[in-house]
Amino acid sequence: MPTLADYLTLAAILFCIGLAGALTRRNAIIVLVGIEMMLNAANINLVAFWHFLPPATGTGQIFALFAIAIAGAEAAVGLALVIAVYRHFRSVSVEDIAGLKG
Amino acid sequence: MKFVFYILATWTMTSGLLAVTMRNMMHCAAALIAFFAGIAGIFFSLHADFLGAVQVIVYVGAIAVLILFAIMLTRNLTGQEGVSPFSGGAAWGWAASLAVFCAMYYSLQDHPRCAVIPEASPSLAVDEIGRLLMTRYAVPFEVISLLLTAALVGAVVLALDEPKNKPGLPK
Repeated sequence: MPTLADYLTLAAILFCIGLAGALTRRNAIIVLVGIEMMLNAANINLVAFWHFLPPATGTGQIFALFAIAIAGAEAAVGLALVIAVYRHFRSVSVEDIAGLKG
Repeated sequence: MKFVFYILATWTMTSGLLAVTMRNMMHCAAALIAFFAGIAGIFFSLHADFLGAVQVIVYVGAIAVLILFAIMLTRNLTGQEGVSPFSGGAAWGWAASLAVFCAMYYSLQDHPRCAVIPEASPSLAVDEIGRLLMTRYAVPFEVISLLLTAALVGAVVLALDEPKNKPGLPK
């Protein structure tokens, strides 16, 4: 049986992969993909705590459910922003969008 | 059980790494779908059946399609030739992510509650989830429905074409 530590370690690895994607890629869509991966990794933590730590009252699963709903809203607004930015700058590279850079 | 966990862990880590490192955006999206499916598998392996189904419906069904549409609408599939898909200070990003991982890994070493194995694996039936959403979590449930409505309207407003670009409208 995998332990709670195994699941937490896996979630930490996935979170850091998503963080690296959000920090290093040029394309704004992949930055959003990295953020989605981080949210998913956090959901693994919530469900793993629900599974391993008594009492299992369902709070962990409900939290993960709300987190999925938030992630859906975030993805919709984020991708709409990317499309609006693309229409304005003709680019989705985060390095081209430097209108406010000092 | 351990075997299934290792397969799922390898699957999600590989597809996740591919999703953030590949040059072609369509390949990134395909790897991302595999990643979301792997997360659903992890939920199933934790006996969170409802959440696994929600993960498949919301992420594999909706968010992956949304990302595919955004990729196709922005028409920048393979990036510019000779230009790295990573930004200038990418090494700092990898270093920061590695540092965050080391901090998290260190903090969960030797924690007494991490070694606990439950005697019986818990389960949560779908009707119980529905009852919880309608009683104890009714207020957050209503708030999240408001938030989703606001996000829907906001996304439509943001992505709408500006009126001056539309033919037939007075300037």
